[in-house]
Amino acid sequence: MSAPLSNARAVGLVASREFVTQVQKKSFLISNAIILVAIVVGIVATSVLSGGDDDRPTVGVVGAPALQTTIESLGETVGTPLEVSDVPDAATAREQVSSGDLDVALVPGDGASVTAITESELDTDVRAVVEAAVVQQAQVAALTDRGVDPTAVAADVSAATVTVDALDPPDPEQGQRIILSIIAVVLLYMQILMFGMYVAMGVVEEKSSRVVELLLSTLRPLQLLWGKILGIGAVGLLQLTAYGVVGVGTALATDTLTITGTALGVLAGTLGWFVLGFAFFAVLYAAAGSMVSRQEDVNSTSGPLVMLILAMFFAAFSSVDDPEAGWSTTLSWIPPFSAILMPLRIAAGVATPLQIVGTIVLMVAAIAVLSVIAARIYQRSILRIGRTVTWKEALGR
Amino acid sequence: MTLTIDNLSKRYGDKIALDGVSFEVRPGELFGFVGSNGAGKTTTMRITLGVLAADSGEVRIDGKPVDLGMRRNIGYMPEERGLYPKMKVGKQLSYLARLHGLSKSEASEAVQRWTERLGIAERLGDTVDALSLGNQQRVQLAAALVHDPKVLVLDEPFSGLDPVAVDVMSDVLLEKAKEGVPVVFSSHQLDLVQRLCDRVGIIGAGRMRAVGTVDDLRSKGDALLVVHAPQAPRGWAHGLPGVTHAEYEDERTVLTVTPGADDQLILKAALATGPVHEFSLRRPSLTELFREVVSA
Repeated sequence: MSAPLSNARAVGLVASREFVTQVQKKSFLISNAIILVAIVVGIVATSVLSGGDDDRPTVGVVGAPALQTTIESLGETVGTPLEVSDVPDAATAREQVSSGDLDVALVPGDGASVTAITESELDTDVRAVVEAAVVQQAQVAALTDRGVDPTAVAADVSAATVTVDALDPPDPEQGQRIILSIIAVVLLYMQILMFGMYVAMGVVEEKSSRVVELLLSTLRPLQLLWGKILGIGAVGLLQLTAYGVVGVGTALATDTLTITGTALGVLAGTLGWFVLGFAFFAVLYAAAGSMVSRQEDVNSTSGPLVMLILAMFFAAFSSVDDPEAGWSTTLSWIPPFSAILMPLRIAAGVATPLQIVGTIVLMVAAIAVLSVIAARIYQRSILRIGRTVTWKEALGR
Repeated sequence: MTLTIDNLSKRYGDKIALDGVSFEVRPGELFGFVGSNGAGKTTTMRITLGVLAADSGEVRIDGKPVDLGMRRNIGYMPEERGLYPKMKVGKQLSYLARLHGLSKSEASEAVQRWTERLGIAERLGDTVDALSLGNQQRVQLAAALVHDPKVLVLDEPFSGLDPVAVDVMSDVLLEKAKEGVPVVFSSHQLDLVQRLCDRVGIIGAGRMRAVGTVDDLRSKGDALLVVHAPQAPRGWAHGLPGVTHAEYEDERTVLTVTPGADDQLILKAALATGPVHEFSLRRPSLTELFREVVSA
């Protein structure tokens, strides 16, 4: 007598077969290796091309160490950081400018005047900093000459500041947030569409090869259904995690992304919503697959699902710019739209914890209801070999 | 173990597929299940394996209604052959064995044993779709046997087999029966059924038409009596009790007689016409019986 097989063991056996079969496919391994390499190369290339600190204008100063420090600190305060260096004499300065080592060389002349040597034109921002520094230097000299303590003046002057009170301050992270959202939306869309289709194809494969009759003599239809969904879903999650971890990791390491917290939040949100979105569509795809007898016919029953996923994708893309629009907020509560709109809102930083929890609850409820309906369709269609069963027949009494 | 099919009924819409089908397969018995296409053999087997639900009636093993746990002790070969085409033979059989409750090591041991027994051991690493049709059939049989089933239900196990494979299959079935396993299989090859089976069930249009040992059934059907009496006039047997039909050839007469007919009375009537050189009773073959039962 063979030992009785528990539900968990039966589902686990089916799931691990699905997982191993999928992961061992050559096409799967090769395409993923290529994609992962492409992600790393793409991000590194972007970071190198956009450059880092290297593009600071270089300023050489002949003598005058006081002027050097003034220029450096002024540059920092006004937002034009400069690379300041000491140059021994005017001749060397000219040489370095013409060779391109320096953008500008400053040669102090008579009194407080300064000559700026440059290749052809002096950048206006740099010019402003240099001029202000020279003027400040002259003022300090003049005040000292007249017996005034320049530090006391500076202390008094520093009190006179302008505080900015912006009604709608620009979000310095907005650019990165939008890019993150777009990537999350595209990835979710592709993963759900692709792995949903894998579920449907897997169901048809069992039906068209007739192996399903052998399986159903030892498994309950629901054990087979959920084993398949779990196994294929695990592959999808693994693949998405690999893309996400490699992508976000490389981006953070190369400083292409600087908003670590948000990036990790989006990654977690995307993975979590993939699980929910995939579960939602996987049960429907399994039902769609069970209704046909040949792989060529899958499209006839999975068509409506593809339309729905496309609609989600377009809704998500239209709300990338303005995730707080009324229609987008409303839609993001409705399963399955929440699966793609919520990661987007999390990326944009407009999702409240209440909404995150609420939409997850709604989505789980929707999945529960759908899985019951889909299981019924699956059970009544899986052994009907031959003509494609229509959705109307499958859902009818 | 005893497999009991008790009063199964099933209808598809207006069409009655099974109408009170009952029979029993005892321990160590080879039971041949015969009938024309569409008579209800596959439906009965599918219900036995729980792949289909019956409208009424039940299937029992040792008196207990079959549930999923007990069903895992049945070896099944569906009429629609089916295996994962792209999965390797060894992995596939091991997977199926584990689905029937075997542990990983038990499964691999059983796969080894059965593939050797069925002559496909060297194909363990090949995918199923790379095998010849005959070898695919052997894998299919291995799939039915790999979990060491206590009951065997095989739908058309001999169809599509070459003569060598037929012998292998027959041997395996006889061997399992000898171990005490009740074996039921359907087949259109009636000579094979007559040779192998202890008992036979004939189904027609969803009803059991006859169930019994082959000898039983043969003795119950109309027999043919060949009488060689050269001087007997045409029509000599006409009106004799138990004779339903007579065919007169040159010197021989072939009489169709009912099972209870008194052959001694017929012999006396023949002797009354002159010398009788041959008087032989020929029981109908299963094939003839089948035609008779199904056309009735």
